[in-house]
Amino acid sequence: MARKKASTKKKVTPLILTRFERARLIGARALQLSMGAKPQIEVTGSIDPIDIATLELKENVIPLEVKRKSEK
Amino acid sequence: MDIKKVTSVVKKKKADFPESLIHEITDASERHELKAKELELLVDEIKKEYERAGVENGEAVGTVAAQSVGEPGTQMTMRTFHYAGVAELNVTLGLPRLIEIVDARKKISTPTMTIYFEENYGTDEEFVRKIANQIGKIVFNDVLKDFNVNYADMSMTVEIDEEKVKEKRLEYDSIIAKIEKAFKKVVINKNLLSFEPTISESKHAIRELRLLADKVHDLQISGVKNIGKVVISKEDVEWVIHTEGSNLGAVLKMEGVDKTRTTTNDIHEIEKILGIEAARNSIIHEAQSTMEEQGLTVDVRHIMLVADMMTSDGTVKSIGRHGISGEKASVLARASFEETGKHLLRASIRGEIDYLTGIIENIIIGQPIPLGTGSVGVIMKARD
Amino acid sequence: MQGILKKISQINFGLLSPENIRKMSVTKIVTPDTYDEDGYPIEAGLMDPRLGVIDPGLRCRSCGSKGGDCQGHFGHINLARPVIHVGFADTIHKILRSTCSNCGRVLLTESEIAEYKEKIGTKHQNEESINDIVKEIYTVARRDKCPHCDEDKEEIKIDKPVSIVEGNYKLTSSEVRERLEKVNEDDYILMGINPDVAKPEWMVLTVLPVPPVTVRPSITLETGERSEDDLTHKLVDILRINQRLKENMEAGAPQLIVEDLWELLQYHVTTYFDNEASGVPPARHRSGRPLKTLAQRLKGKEGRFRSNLSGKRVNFSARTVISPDPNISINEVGVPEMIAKEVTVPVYVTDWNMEDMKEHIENGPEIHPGANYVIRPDERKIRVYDETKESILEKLEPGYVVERHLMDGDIVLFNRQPSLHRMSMMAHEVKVLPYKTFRLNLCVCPPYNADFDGDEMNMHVFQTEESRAEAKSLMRVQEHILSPRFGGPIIGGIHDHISGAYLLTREGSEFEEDYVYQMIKKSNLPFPEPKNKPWTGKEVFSLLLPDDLNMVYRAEICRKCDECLRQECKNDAYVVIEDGQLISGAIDEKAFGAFSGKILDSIVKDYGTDKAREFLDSATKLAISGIMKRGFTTSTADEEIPQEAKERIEELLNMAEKRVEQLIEAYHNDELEALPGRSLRETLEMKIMQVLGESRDKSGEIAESYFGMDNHAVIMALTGARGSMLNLTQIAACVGQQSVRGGRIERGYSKRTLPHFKEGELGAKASGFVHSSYKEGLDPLEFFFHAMGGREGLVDTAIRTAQSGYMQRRLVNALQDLSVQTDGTVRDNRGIIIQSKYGEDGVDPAKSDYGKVADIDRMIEEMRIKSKAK
Repeated sequence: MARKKASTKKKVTPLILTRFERARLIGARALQLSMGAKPQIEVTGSIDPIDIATLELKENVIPLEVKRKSEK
Repeated sequence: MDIKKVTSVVKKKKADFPESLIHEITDASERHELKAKELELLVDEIKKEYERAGVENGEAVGTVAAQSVGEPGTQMTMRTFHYAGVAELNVTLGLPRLIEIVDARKKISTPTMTIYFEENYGTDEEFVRKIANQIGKIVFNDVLKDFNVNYADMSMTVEIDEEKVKEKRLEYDSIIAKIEKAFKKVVINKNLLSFEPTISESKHAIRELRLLADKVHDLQISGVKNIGKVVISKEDVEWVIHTEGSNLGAVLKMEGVDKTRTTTNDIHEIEKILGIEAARNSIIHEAQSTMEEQGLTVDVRHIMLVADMMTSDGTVKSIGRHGISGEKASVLARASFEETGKHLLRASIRGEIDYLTGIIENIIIGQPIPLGTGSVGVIMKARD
Repeated sequence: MQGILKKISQINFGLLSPENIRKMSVTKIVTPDTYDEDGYPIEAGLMDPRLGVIDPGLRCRSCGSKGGDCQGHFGHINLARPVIHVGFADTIHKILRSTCSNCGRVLLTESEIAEYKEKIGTKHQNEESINDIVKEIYTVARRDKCPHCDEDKEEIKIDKPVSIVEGNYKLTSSEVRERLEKVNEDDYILMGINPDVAKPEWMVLTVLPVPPVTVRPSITLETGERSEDDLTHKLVDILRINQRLKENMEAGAPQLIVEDLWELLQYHVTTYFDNEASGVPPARHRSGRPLKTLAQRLKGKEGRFRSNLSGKRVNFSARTVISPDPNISINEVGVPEMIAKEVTVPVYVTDWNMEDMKEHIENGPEIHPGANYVIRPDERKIRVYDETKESILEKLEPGYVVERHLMDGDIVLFNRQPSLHRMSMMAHEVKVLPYKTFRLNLCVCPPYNADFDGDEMNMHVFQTEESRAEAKSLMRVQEHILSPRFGGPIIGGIHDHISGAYLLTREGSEFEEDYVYQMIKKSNLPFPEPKNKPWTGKEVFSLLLPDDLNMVYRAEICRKCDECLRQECKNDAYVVIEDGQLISGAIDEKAFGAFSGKILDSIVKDYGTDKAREFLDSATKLAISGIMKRGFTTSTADEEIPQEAKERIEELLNMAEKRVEQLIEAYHNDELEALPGRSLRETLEMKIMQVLGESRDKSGEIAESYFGMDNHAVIMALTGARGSMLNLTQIAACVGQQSVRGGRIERGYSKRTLPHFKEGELGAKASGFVHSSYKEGLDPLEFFFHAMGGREGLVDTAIRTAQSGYMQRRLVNALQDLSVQTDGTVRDNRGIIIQSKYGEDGVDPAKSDYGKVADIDRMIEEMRIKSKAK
């Protein structure tokens, strides 16, 4: 799982991605890959940007992270 | 395995379980006669399940709840009459009842109360019957043996039936007192009463007499305000009263009434007498029973969310434009729901600012909504 | 997200001042003429070219952009006399009523002013609406004397729709404007007016902004004539009257004429803003149709908000009739080739897909998979034709966008209206197929509520990579197997799947090994080791189940006998699965059916949605193979009962009818005892209904005893595939009592239902008891009553859909802003906490076990089995 940027307050949010965060990360990364970004893993099989992004996320090499909103 | 033991194990495992779950675990452990080691394993398993089943941040719970409550509506009947529950009273059911609840109607079509009695009183049929007759609406005509209106003589005589008075457990003297208070020209001769119309010499004498007759006929001699028919039935070992009409305030004051179980289906009354939290619970209970009666299952959490939304401000608000939807902060949201012109015009003179934090506004201007994936912020990782 | 360069953060509302209107206008509009004889728009007229162009050939004079791009520019009309804006008439009335005509201050004492100002201040801080306070101020400020300057105040009334009357004197709009100007600025806020953006006198118009040509385009009819928009017509009227008024005023015409013209101008401006204003006759076309002016454009279901903003028509969508296809996965949708060639997917060309894209362009727009358009980096769109193919292929390089045809594996959004819950819109994978209908796997019909009697469904093709990725992660059909409404599966086997599974796995069903291998191949399962002897159905089914699955439950066919024989059950209803092997019990609705599938439920929860999809695909295919081998049909012979049964039923019903007669006699002879709280008549009705209902149920039981599990209709009813035993009893034994409004049929002729009966007849037949079965046939009277009962049902359904639709809309609208925040609370968009923890326990209903966190009993049992195994 990708690492979260823990909020600067004492409260550290749990390290599991919600399904929305996961979808957003894959989506943003897939967009980057489709426009020509270099994949961070060895691409075998499908060259579909979404599949590559999903694999990158699984291997935890995705270059994006989620910024969680801290309490107001 | 008692609840304290379970609570301590749960605490030890640092599992943040809600109370209801702890109760469930306790019940199950008793049923299956769990040993201490098994309990620990069980709590571990349940902790895993509990975390897996948690609702995720950003989830659009409002929309899901509204859809889950609204979608079964197409499967509900419109047929409102049904001899429900007590088989003697008509209660609104199905879709019309759900709409009543959600609209927070002040006047509902079939208000009804269920009155329970305290321990010693509840098993005493006599007592319950007496209270029933005190509460239920009884008119003078119900205790009369004979009712004569003589248009020729311009007179009216009635005969009180003592049997019926006793049957209904009423006080003879209080009836007479009520009669004397209500009518000026009454002649009482044991059980025979004769009435005289106040205006006898006029063209409308016959009509006067008829009106007087009706007034005597329908004079209410017993009963609490707003309550009509009353029915007694036996549930398990105790006697319970079901009423047509509702007056929680008056009934709760009566002696012998179990204040913890007596209830009504009129939500506004519960709000008035017992407060907003009770009203919230009443909304949940009523909505759930309406759905169940139709054979539909809706998870209680959705109904709870609707109820919480209706009552979060401290009063019971309706779902429509007079309640929650009409009080939204966003101008565009209100304008696109109902009464478009009014909201836009008023916004312009108040100088309102729409901060575009809600769903409809963002759809209107074509931006991602602040829910679900739209609530996630993504940034590039810093290069190591 | 892609494409967002500027994010709108807020929208401010306010009033336009006359200076603002003049400033933003490009030209003054004076003449009511639109076009001259040559067809050119007249200068300073309503169709002045500086106001914008709609014609794609011309260029706009004010901004220089071409036909499609220019958004139009405002003009203005100087009104000869001020006119009240109809939407603010009420507010103007209230302001005049609450302020002093002499000194202009609000009619409240100093202390009241301070108090209210403070209240308003707190409301502003809390971001709440001040409507209630302002309403209160209006009522309190209805005084006779001004507390500041001591002037008397006359009563001000409003005469619909826009005339303000003081005492007996009607104020002219100029006078109203003067009074409004007098109002003290400090008091604005008390009347709900924000001094930063609005002044009361602006509510009386001296300048009218003229909307651009793009807002009110003209249409050219087939005859060549130009038809003007309703708004243009109205503006022409306003201009005409305005001109006349001006001329008359300058020429010094008598007061009466000027006033008349002024009123007419007021009328025109009123209907221009709102043609449905109360108290004003709507302006009409020559044809009699009322005009559609500004307010009508915004309001209602067909108005701007609901029909063009909250919901829009979109490109890259398709709609056709749906038809069933059991051979595609539940995740897939069969798309006709015609549609796949029409709706396209934009793909960025990169070094890796260059070859692929070249192939697509080579195929061109006619051959699938091809491409329709190519977009250059300078955003010019080039259509792909056979002629242009060559040049495009040469120039193609990374940075181009190719709009290619829809291909197998693409993700699309599939939807059926009415979209009542989120499962009405799910993402499917495309499978391009011949012919012209969308193909849908049968299991996925319940969430869409689709049947194949002519239903149409919509498909939307995702255009950006991000949306495609999100749909694939979140919206695929397999993610929605569990419904959030009650925590159980909503996608599952239906109809033949269930009866097929039952026939496959019931006791006694055996298959030759070679047919078993055929079934396995059809279900896409891995090949097992050969057994060299016939397989039982249970063994075949066990190939589907994961190896560590352990379950025990009672199937749908369970008769609920008092003493459960468990594994010895005669009906084979006690299902035991150990280590992925089906040991006893038959598979039916309770296993993988749409609303109660237990096996499906636990596979989704324990093994994930991918495994669940595979299980469902394979299970349904297996069930179909099972039923195909054996064959399955039904006919009226399935509802045949022997003569002795018919006699018994006849006897039973006759007895019941006699009993009813007895009850009626007792009622007439005053021998009937009334139930508490009910009148005699009501008691009679209830007792009769009871007797008749019982008799139908008992006759049903008699018929049922002659049906066995070899009867196909019974198999369908008991396994939960389709129909119920009630249907069978109505066909075989007795239809039963028809009811309208909860009771027996009462209405018809006076004092009787039909002229075939005497007045006052209360018997069974006279009030709608249908004695015959459907097989025997109903006699005319029974048929008529049956039609009455059936009609009530149809009307009920029709009303129900409308009412429940409105309720759902209101609920969704009220609750849609709620979401779960990072701290676990449920808040709305203002930040106000609605629930401190969602559902008081933080559990998602879709992930719950029918509402509970977990099935604790099952967990304990499984735990014990596991530890025993150790």
